[in-house]
Amino acid sequence: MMPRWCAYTLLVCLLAWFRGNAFECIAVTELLKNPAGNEDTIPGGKSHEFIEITNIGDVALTIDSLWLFDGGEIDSIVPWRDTLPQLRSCVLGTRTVGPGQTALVLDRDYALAPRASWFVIDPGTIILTTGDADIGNTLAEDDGVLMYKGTKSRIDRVVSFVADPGQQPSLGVTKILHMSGRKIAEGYSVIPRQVLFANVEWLQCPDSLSPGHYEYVKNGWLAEYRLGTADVSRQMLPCSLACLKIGGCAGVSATWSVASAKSTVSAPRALDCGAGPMRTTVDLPLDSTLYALRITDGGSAPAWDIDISTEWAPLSAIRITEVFPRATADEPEWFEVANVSSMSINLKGWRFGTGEDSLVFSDADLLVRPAEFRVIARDRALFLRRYPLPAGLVTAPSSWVALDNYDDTLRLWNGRGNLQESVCWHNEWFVSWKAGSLERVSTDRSGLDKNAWAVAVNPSPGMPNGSVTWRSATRASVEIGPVPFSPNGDGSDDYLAVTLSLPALATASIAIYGFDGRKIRDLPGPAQQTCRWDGRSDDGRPALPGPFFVVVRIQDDRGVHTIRKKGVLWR
Amino acid sequence: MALSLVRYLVLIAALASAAVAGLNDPFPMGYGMGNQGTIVWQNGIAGRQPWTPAAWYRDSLHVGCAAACALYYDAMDNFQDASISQIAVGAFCAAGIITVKAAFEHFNAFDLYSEQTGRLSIGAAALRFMTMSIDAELLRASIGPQAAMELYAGETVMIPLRYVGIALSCRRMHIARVSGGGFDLPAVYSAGFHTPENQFGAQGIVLEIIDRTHDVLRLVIGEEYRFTPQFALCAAVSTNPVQLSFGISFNTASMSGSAALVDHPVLGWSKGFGLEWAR
Repeated sequence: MMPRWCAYTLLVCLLAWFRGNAFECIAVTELLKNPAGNEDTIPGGKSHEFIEITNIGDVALTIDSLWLFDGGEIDSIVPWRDTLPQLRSCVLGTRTVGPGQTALVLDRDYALAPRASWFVIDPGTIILTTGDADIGNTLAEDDGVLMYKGTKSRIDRVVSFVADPGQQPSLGVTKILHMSGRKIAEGYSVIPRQVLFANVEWLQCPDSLSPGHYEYVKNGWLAEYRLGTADVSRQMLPCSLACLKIGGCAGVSATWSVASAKSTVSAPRALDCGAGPMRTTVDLPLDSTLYALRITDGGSAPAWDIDISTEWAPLSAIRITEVFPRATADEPEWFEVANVSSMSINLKGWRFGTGEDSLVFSDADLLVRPAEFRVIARDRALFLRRYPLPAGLVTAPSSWVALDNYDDTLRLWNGRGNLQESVCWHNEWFVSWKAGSLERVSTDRSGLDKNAWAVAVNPSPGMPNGSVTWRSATRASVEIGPVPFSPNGDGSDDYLAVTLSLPALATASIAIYGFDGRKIRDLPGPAQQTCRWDGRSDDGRPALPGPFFVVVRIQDDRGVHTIRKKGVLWR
Repeated sequence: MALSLVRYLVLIAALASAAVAGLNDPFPMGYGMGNQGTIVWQNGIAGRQPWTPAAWYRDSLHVGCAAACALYYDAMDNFQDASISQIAVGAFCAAGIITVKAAFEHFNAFDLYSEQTGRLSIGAAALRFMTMSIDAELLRASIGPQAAMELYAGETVMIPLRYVGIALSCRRMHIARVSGGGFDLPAVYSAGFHTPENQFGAQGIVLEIIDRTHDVLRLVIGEEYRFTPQFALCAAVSTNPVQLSFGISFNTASMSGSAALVDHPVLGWSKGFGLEWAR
């Protein structure tokens, strides 16, 4: 059901259309409610709050009789008068926001903030402020905003209304709730995902702040899409498209088309310019996850990605391939996912969780190309200190679902809430899991299958699992070499390598025996593929030249068995 | 070298070699596998074998020769067609109070590594209650074109009392590096008690001290029971490593032979065979 505020907005647009076939629409395109810094000092906190509005209609908005209400206090909107150095390229003192223009309603205390804390505002942005010292009653994290024309006590016309569904624009309420779906990190603004469709979803701004422009406007065009439910039998996903030429498209000749890298879904066709957004629906084949909506307008051809992987992805495309639930002081909890499909998958809006809770990976695009890995870590900085990987490989959600050290289930849901992956682990599956991660040795096996996992002493986040090559064998095997080996420190064949290949759950212990039958050395194992022997006994004495024996004792589902190899040591 | 000689002489009075066996011979008595070298007195089969010290030879026969072979441990999961084996031939000659024994051994580890050992032992019944011998061992080990040669020595003292024989020995006392890189093998000191044949057979206990190793002590206890003058069974158990051995021996007036099995709990069975002739 369409929310009331959207109905009001559409009503305004309809009235405007009846009045003169004009499209009047003011969209709130960014909200900074929780600035970085202490709330009680000028450098941060409430002094940096702002509301960005964009006139996406073709009628100018004057700020006369324009009021702002946050559920606590009503403020008039007035032009900004202070000439601050950081606002030199902005438009000050104006009372009109023309079609296509963006205005920032900035907290008046911003003028008192030190220079170091000022943020960059796009040139040409109209700066407004409120008649009061604060925006409303200062914006709380869950505050919505009502902008209207009228008086302090009467609403004549709703200009814009940002609130959770189910609320009505009214001055009689004590709270306008706008939770925006999830917790937003301090210092980050929220932006609407779409403004041309009902039920706007608000996201954390990927760039933390972007005052002065709306991210989805390109070359004066705003294009948006909304995905339906995949029809697996037809291998199609219905997609509603809407586009708008800001400021009106009178005299503009434009076409739009939809295509993927593989095929053209909708050939270029003329845009039927009228008042308000133009809309159409296309069926996107499920043989790709990334499409492009392109609008050709004379010489320019801006394009918008249509990424359906946030809503639909091939079954089992994303697999959890490594889990580290046992955090230490030097290493946070993390897990690794891999794209095992042939399509790029965007994890934006995907959720992860255990049986008790679930959280969103990322509000920003998080594209995982085929065969790529991503690491989801609780503490990104700490993780990168432990593993110096490219920072782009690692994502840290704003909140974290704690993983149980011993027994837990980890699940992934796509943006539509469909379960995509489920893995679990039990401490008793592994004989010697004292440290290290759990590596998926086979993506062919279910993540709930104990045989799909092996303990890795040396975790491999962001890269192929080391265990895959040696912990996925159906039968255990051992190779030793070189034979002979000569641990005499000459740099050649100084170590004997004992290379294991084991079933996932098998454990192994390695011992070296001399020809006289006495045990010389126990080698650490089993959670590494290759162990090295330096030709010395447990107490550091050089082993005698001659034959020796490598005895690997393996314990798996079938019981205990031994593999014995013989070699020769020469000094 | 001088230091080694001094060390050697000092130990003469106290120690005697139980055997001058291979480089890392897993059995204290080399080819006396069935009783693991614990029964060496009188007609104990080990005493006639030519690669045992001359001090242990106490028989009325004057000349003889022997041949033997051993296959060590089970087949394993690599070099499956190549075993670890040892063959030996030897001879002895006893005249008056002097006994001389000589032997040659060839050890082969899956055609990759080999040892050739020449041994010489000269013993004398110096006193009525004591025999002793001096042993020399020239060992050549090789792997491909690389080879090393070492000279070792041993000393054995045997005190054959009425109800028990006491044997003291040292072996693998390094004398000289002849060629190559050298092995620096640890010396082995041993002491043992051996009973003559009684109503329960013959019994023996050997305690070894292996120099420069983590577990220096090794104890071997053995039994040989002669059912008839020609046929005997023997068994022994050792520690470090724990090994069980079983063997049979037979002898006629001039011939004797033995076959034995030794079980290592991890490495498996070793097999030994020996044949001696003397008159």
